[in-house]
Amino acid sequence: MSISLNNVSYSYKGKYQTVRAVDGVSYDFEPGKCYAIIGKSGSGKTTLLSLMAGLDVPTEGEVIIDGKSTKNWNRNRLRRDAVSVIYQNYNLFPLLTVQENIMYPLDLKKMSKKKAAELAIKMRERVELSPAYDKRLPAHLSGGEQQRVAIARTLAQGCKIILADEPTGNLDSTNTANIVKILCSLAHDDGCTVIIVTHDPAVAEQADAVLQMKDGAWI
Amino acid sequence: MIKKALKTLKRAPVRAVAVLLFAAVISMIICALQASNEAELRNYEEVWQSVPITVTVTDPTGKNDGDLLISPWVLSLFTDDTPVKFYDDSAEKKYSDPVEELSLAAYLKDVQSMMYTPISTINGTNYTSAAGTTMLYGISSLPCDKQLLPENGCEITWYEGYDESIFAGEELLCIVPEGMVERYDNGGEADLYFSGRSNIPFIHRDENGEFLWVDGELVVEFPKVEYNCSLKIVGTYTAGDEKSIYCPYPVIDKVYDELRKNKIIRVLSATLSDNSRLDEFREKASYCFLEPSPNAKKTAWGVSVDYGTLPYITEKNYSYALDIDDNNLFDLSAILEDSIKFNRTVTVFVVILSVISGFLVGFLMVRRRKRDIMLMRMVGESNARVYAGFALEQMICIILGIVIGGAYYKWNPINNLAIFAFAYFIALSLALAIFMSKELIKNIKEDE
Ligand SMILES: Nc1ncnc2c1ncn2[C@@H]1O[C@H](COP(=O)(O)OP(=O)(O)OP(=O)(O)O)[C@@H](O)[C@H]1O
Ligand SMILES: [Mg+2]
Repeated sequence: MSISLNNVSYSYKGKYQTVRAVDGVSYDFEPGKCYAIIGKSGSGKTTLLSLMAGLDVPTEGEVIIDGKSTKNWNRNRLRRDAVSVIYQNYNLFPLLTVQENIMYPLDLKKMSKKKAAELAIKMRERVELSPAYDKRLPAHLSGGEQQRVAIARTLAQGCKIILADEPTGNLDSTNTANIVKILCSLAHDDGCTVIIVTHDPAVAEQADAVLQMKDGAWI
Repeated sequence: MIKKALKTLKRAPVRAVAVLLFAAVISMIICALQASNEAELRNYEEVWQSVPITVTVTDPTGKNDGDLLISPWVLSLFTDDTPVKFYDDSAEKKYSDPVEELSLAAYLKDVQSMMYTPISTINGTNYTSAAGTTMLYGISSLPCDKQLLPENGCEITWYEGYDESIFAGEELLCIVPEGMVERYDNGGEADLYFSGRSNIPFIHRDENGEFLWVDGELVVEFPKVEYNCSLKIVGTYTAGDEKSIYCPYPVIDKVYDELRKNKIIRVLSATLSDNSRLDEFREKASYCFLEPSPNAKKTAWGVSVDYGTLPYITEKNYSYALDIDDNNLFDLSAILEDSIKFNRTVTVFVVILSVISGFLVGFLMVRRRKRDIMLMRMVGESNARVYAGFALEQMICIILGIVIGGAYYKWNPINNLAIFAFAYFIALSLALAIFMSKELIKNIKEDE
């Protein structure tokens, strides 16, 4: 599934001022590749990622996913079937167990409970968590474990475009390496388009391509 | 969906229990208040019913010193279930067609009446007291003649085994002035024989009990009829006019029955049997009674032949007033009504408070769950489903709280509880609507 940016701009309209957070960005992301977006704080990385995730539509230009502008997508469906996002934290439903968290998107897709549970186990194994985690609540997991569960949920969701906003921001280098390895394997082994926003040069290094942002535009 | 909601509630028990307790406490307060209101209302009703309302026949100015001449139809009005017929005296054939039929008996109880007749001989000899003609009084209780009340200096000495309850009966008993006992000293063992005569008009009736008419005139007779009656003395009284003998009302009623058919009652009063029918009674009574007013002109009642006999109505012939003594009732009910009003105000206040607090808590609950809601939307759950799930989960808590909190009082009043639940529901919906109306991109920023 392809995703491309076509002269995308986005402004936050406040009461007193309007902030142009993304300013005329274009790019074609290719499936099967892992991208890193870097840039100073406030340069518009999160905003751009959110636009790609269909959390809003650009004020100007278009985000085109699977040949269709996000303006024309049913955005619930877009978020359910096409794009999934992993944030630095707050990715998991605090009141659901690890297994239930992973199964949540499958439930949305009306998959049968049994099949969903089987798939959830597979995904959990893929992010290298033992069965003991199934019944635990997110509050009792470490940051790295939480991110791995978040990735497992993304895997279960089955989206071909995976966005991550500083997914390793809170993690030590071992965990970071682990997470990045899983994310890259999603691109290389599963043919997903993976886009990671990061501050960490070590993460950027692992990516197939690095894009740098400044004041809402590429440099 | 319900299963999911219950699971979420179970995972965050403190929050769920807090909302539940909140609803329970509010419901308890609402219900307890209602219960107290109702108790007060019942109390009010009880008090209202228990305060005696006496109605007394008076002259138009509101007085009756025992010298009123009350026609028998008035007594019938008070005591007979068969209605009294009223005629229009301005009609051509005055007494042919009644214009109204009325009975007040159903509204009244404890009818008190007094009637008397002159005595001319006692034990066969002429009897006169210094005070004038001696009278035989029939009374249904002591207060029927004020002269007999202790506050008027009267002291009654009852012979053994007797008391004032004799007046409620119909035995041939009497009490006499102290001086009279000395004169006819028989220690209460033997009876006294009274006799007297009357020339009060007697109107003839036919075999059907209807008034008898000849050539358009009533057939009236002025008989001089002797009566005899023997009574046992069971007590004496001091003070007073020393000339009156008191027996139970039914006794003299019987004497009168033999003596002359049209009785003249002097005192007539009764108690309302059901205070809640006061207004109804008042309206009915107004047909034949004036409202007492100090400036009213006394009618020359009693002087007309017809008057003492037949109820008839024209404007100038309202001869009696009816004094309905409801002052006590209204003083008391004013106090109680104030307190009921106060309770009502408190109830309204509490309901408003429940609505406000329901609103606040509803809002708060949504705020606390922003992250879940955001995440649900992020993985593609539609707003409608997010709303339904969350509202369901919260309403389970609230309804359960209301059910538990209001159980003791049987969920009375259900409408106030519903208002509270509804307020919570509205707050919840509003908060969710506000929160979900924003684009997700803004929500993320708020959260991080
Ligand atoms: N909700 C908002 N309302 C107004 N302005 C906003 C809002 N969110 C972000 N901005 C502004 O938009 C610009 C880009 O913000 P963005 O969060 O995309 O930066 P970023 O590159 O992700 O920074 P960081 O590396 O610190 O996460 C910033 O100047 C920021 O102040
Ligand atoms: Mg950011």
